[in-house]
Amino acid sequence: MIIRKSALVVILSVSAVTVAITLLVSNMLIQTQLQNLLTKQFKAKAEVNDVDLHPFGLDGSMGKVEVANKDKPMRNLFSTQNAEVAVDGWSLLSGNVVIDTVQVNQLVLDEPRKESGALPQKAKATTASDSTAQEDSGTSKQDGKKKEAEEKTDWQALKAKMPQIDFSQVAQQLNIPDLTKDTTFQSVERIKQAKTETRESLDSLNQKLKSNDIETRIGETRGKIEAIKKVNLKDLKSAEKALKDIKAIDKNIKAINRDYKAIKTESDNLIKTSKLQKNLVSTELAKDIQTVKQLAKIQNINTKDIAMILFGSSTLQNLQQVMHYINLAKEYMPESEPEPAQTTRRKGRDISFPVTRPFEPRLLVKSLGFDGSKGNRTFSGKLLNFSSNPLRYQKIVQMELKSKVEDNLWLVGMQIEPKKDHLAQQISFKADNIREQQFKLSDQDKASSPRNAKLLNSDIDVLLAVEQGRINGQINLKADQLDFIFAKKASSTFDKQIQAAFSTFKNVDVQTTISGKLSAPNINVKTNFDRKIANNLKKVVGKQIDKANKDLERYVSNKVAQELNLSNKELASAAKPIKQLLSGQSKDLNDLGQLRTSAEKQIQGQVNKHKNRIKKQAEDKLKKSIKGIKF
Amino acid sequence: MFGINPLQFIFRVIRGTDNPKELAGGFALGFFIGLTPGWPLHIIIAAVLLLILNVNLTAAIIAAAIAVSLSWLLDPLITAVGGWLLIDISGLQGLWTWAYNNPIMSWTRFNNTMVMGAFFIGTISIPVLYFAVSSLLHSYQTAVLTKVKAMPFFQKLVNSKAAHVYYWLAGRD
Repeated sequence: MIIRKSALVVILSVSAVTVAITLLVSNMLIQTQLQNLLTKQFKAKAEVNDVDLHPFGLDGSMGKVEVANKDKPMRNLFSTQNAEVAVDGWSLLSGNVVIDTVQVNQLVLDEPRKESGALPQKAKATTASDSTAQEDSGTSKQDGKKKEAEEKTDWQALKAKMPQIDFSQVAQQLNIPDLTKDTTFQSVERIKQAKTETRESLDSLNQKLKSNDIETRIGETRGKIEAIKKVNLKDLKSAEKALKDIKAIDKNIKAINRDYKAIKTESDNLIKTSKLQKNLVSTELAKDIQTVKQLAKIQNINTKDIAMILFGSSTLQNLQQVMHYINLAKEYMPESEPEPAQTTRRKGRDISFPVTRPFEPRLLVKSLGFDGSKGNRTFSGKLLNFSSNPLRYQKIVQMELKSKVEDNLWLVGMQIEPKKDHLAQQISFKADNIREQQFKLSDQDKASSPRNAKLLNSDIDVLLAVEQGRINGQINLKADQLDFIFAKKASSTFDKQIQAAFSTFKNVDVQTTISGKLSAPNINVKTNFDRKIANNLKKVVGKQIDKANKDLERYVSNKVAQELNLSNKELASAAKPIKQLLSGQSKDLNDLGQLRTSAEKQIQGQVNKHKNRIKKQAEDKLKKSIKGIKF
Repeated sequence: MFGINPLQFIFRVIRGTDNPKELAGGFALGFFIGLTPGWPLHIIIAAVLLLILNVNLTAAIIAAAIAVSLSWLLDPLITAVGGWLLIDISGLQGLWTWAYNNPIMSWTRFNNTMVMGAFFIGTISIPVLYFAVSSLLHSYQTAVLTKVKAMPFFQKLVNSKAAHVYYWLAGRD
C-alpha cells in the first residue's frame, strides 16, 4: 500500500482537533486581539464583549464595546451595544482585512463611565527624576503631561526622519528684487560707465565750441561789412574799393564756415553716438541674466516658495483641510505589523510582477453603518469605502450623517477620491439642506473634550451648527462659527492644481498633523513627497523655475532698458545747449552770408551807377563836340 | 511508529532488509524539502506527503540534512536558476503575473529567486534521485549483498557473539 494509513489517520485527527480547538477559542482570541487593538489605537482602556464568529463563515457579531477617553478617563470616547460584521475571507489570504459590511448599533459618544478608563502606568526604570517622588506622586496631571511629552518625543523622532513641508510658514511669493538685492549688474555698470564717457566728451566739445569763438568772429565780420556799407561811395574809385573789401571778407566768412562745419560734424557725431543702445551692453546683459538664473536655482528657492508657487494661498488652505481629514482618518487606522524576521537561509531576491488584482489596503471597510447618540441628540449614518490607504482603493469614501433636530433632517457627507497613481485626493463635502457654510467647534466644546473634537470634528460641527441654526431651511450662523472651507472649491482647485503639479509622481503618500485653530492652522505634512521631490523636483517645478528665470531675465532687461532710457535722457539734455548753440551759430552764419551778399549787391549797384554816370558824361561831352554822332 | 531510528536505519540499509523504493522515495522527497529555505506552502504540502506516503522518513531526514549542508555550495546555482525562470524566460511572465496576483500562490513565495530555483531543481531531483537511489540499492542488494552472504567468513560472523550484540542493537525482524 503506497499510503501510510496510520500517518493519514494521525494527521487528520490532529487537524480535526486543531480546527475544533480553534473554533472553540477563536471567539475568545479575536475578542482579546480586538480589545488589544482598540486599546493600542485609542491609548485608553477598551472592553469588547460577546464576540461570536460564525463557524465556517466569516460573518460574526459583537456585544458591547466600550472605549474610554484617554483625556477624560471617567468618560467613554464611544460605546456600542452590538455590531454585526461580514469579512471577506479571500482578502484575508493576502494579509488584508476587508470588511464587507459592519453595522454598529447604539453608538453612544462621550458618556460617563463607572470606572476609570486610564491605562495602568507601566513600571519605569529608576531614574534621577524618580528621586523627586514627592513632586511626581499621584499627580495625574503631570502624568498626562509626561505621556504627552513621550508621545511628542515619539512624534518628534518620527518627524525627524520624515521630510517635511511646513505650509504654515508660507507667506510670500518669490521676491525677485529681494533675491537680487546683493547682485551687481555688469550691464548697468557698463551703461553708467558709457554715460560718464559720453558726458566727458560732451564737456570737451562744449569747451571746444567756446574756444573756437565762432560767434565773435561772426560779429567782427558783420561789423566789418556794416562798416563798409556805411562808407560814402561818392565816386567809382571808392565804390570799387568797397567792393574789393567786401570780396576780401569772403575769405573770413569761408574760414568761419569751415570751422563751423568741422565742429558741427564733430558735434553731430558725438550726439549721435551718445545715444546708448542695448547692444552696447549685450554681452554684459547676457552675463547678468546668467547670474540671476543662478540665483533662481532650486537650492535657493525653499519649499515654502515652491509650495506657494505650486499651490497658491487658497489651494493651500484647501489642502490643509484635506490633510486634516486624511490625517484624522489615518490616526485611527491600525498600525501595520512589523515584517517577520528573516530566516538564516532566506536569501535570493523577491521579484515583483504587475499587479492585476485590485491593490487592497491593509484594512478596508466597504460599508460601516451606525446609529447612536451624543447627549440627547440621536444620529445615524453610513461610512462607505473607508480604507487605511485611500491611494490603494480607488472608490470614493463617503460618509453620511443624519441627525434629527426639531423636525429638520440634516445631512452632510464627506468624499475622498484618490486619483490613480497620483497624490491627488479629491475632496468634496455635500450638504443637502445645509447651505455651503463653514463650521467649527466652539472653543468651549473643544476645551471640554478635545478628543471628541478631534474624532468627530465634522459630525459635531454639523450638530452644533444645527443647534445654533435651527431656522427653517436656512442656517443663521454667527460670524465666529464660520471657519471651514467648503468642498466644491477644494475639489476643483485641488484636483486641477495638485494633479497638474504632481502628475509626474507615482505612489506619493501624505500624512499630516494639524494644530492651532482652524482659522489659523499649522499644518505639518509628513510625506514621501520630499523624498520624491529630491529626485524629481526639477521636473515638478521646472515650469515654475522657467517662469522664474523668464521673470528674472525680464527683470534684468527692464532694469537695463530703464537705465539706458535714463542715461539717454540725461545725455539728450546735455546735448541740447550744444545743439542750440550750433543752431544759433548756423543762423548767424547764414545772416552774415546774406548781409555780405546784400552789401556786395549794394556796392555793386553804386559801382554800376558811377560807371553809367561817367559813361553818360562822356557821351554828352562827345555829342557836344561832334554833332550828329550817335551811340 | 514511523521507524525513525538512525542506527536501525543504517543497519537495515547494510543488511538490505528495507525496500529500496521506499528508501529512494524518502530520500528524494527529503532532498526536495531540504533544498528550499523556510516553509513556503509547497514545502508544507511536501512534508505532509512525506508523512502520508509510505516512504522512509529517516532517509528523508538524512537527505534534507544533506541538502541543507550543501546549500552553501548550491545556493548561487539555485538563485541563478530561479532568476532565470522568473526574469529571463518571457514566456512564463504571464504565469508568474497570475500567480503573483493569486493570494494562495503568494504563500509559496514563488517570486523569490531562491525558492523558485530550489523548487525547480528539487522537482527535477525527485525522479532522478528516486531512480538513482533505488537502482543503487537494488544493485547493492542483488550483487554485493548476495555474494557477501555466501562467503564462509560471513557465515561465521553471523553466528558469532558480536553478531548477537548487533542483532540486539538493530532489532530482530
